[in-house]
Amino acid sequence: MKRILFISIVVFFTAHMAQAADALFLLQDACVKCHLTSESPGSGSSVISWKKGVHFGPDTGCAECHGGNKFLYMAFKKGHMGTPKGREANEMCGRCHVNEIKEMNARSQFRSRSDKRCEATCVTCHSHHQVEKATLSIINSGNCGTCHPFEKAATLTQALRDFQDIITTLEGMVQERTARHLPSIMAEREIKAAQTALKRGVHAMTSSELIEHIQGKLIPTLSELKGDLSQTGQRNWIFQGVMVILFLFLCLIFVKYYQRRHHA
Amino acid sequence: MNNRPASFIKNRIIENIRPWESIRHAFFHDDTVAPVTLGDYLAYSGIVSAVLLVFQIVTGLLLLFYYSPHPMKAFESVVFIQNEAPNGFLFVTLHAINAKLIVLMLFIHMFRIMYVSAHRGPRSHQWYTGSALLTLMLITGFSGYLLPWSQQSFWACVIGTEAMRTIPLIGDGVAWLLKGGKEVSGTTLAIFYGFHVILLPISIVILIWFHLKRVWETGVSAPPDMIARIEKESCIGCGLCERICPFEAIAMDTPYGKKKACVDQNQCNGCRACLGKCPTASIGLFSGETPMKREPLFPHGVLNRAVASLVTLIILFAAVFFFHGLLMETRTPADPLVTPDRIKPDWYFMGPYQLLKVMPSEFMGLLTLAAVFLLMVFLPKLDRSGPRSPEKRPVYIFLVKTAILSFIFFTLWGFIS
Repeated sequence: MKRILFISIVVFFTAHMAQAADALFLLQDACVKCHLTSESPGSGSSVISWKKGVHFGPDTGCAECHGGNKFLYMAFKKGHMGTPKGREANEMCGRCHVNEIKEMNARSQFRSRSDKRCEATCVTCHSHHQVEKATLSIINSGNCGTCHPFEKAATLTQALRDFQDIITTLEGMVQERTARHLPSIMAEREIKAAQTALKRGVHAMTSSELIEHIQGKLIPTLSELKGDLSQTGQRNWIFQGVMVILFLFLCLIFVKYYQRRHHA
Repeated sequence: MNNRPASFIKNRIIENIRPWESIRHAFFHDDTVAPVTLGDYLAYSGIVSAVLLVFQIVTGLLLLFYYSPHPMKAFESVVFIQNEAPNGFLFVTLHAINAKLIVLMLFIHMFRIMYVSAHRGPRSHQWYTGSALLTLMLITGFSGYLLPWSQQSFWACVIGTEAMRTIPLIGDGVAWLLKGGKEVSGTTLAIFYGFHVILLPISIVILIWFHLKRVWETGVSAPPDMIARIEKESCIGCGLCERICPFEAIAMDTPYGKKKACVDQNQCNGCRACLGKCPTASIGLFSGETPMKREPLFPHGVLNRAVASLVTLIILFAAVFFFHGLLMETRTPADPLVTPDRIKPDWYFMGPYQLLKVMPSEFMGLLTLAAVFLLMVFLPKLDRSGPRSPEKRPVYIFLVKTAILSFIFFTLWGFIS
């Protein structure tokens, strides 16, 4: 109890803690306790970065990647692996992202290189600690220009940008259709499928194959979907309503006619 | 001799569950059911409610195919029905708007019966079953309102169930039973779902059966200015009409040395109980000097009701297709942690809700509502004799009009406040 109280005080009153205090699971994490204080200078920023990334959560903490036991304060170093170097990062990520690693290993670009600067790993694109979903911003001279002439990436960037633009448009259309109670679940699935296909392509294809895949297959499919969504963008309630009410009116006229005839 | 009690019970059961003969008689003979001569639309509100209820049951059954009564899935399943299922939006909208319209029709039916005092004498049974039906319909509406698990429905349920807690002694227990715990949760949704799709519909259908069976037996009420008149020449003075009259309006007299039945015009309610009993058909209903036109229910009465039902259906479908945006609130998923700015129940609870808000305490409000409810249910005990015609009893009509206007006033106040 005292320990928790102490950690709480530390969490809530140090400069680093103020940014991390909104997640109470941190109070139970043995790694966070030291790495957020001055006991291990510099590593506090790793925790802050981790908090900003997509891996911030109770099940994807320090111990999941670096080893160690986050619950046993007296034996927290048990199984500690330290910082993974180079391609070790791929193995580490592959424990959860099995398919991605399998696809990457099948591609020559991600294989081991003699020049370690040209060796692309998961961290190259997705960063570490502040792990992010890959965006277009990762294609830059810093990442790509080390080994390739950066101009080569321009075509790929454009293809990816076109893909992203059409996805954004389609997502807007789907959102609008949902608000207007129009069928959208199949469109959502197709968008998801295209995004997954792109993700797999990025991991498993060369840049030329990927450009061809985006321009020759994904974008035409999505354009077709966009056309379908635009065509069926309106459910004709007025027509249906008029037809139903017209039918009821005809029934009414028939009943009144029968009534009058019976009286006659 | 030993078989008699068993056969008697058997016959009574058959007679109760299978009144085909009385229905057939009502349809094709002119001495059982009088046509409604009030040529107004309101007179058919009862049968129109029944037609709308059929639509409600059919659309409800269709929605059951896709609806999921789970707090994590209920809202999504409703969105799925609306957006993806074939004509799903039409069925959801029809079910929601029809629910509002049925209750409106039931209130019109009830207020009309009150206005013309058709609840008296032999028709008091219909009034009691009708009151129970209205109550069950309101509970069904309340339970169904929660099912979309939207922000409005969730918080309306929270307020509705919390209001129960103000009832002394049993309030906490009732609220706990309704919610299935301390808070409105998935258990509450399951309980309300069970009530809405099984228990309440079955109870309603059984009660409608008893309600209509009694209507077949007594016939629909005659217009309020109708009273019985006896042909002195043909009356044989058998005294059957005197014994059957629930208002003690018929007495035997001997004006010409022969025993003849006489009607007290101030007491007669035109209930027609005596008409079927007279062996010489000497009794007729008259409004002044005009005799009541009597004819079988089919075809004229049935066609009139068909016209009323078709007009209502046209209004319903026009509302569903063209005004659903006005009549249905925009639904957002329920969030137990965020209280919406305005929590509003369905329209028929708006009046009681506003009354609860303006009363000094919730208990006082509930007490007032309970008093109004009991007054309504036991109306046949309070208003049991005297003429039925509205012109002859201004005080009663003033009270009924006040009740109707108060209901409208509190409902409108609830909407604008």
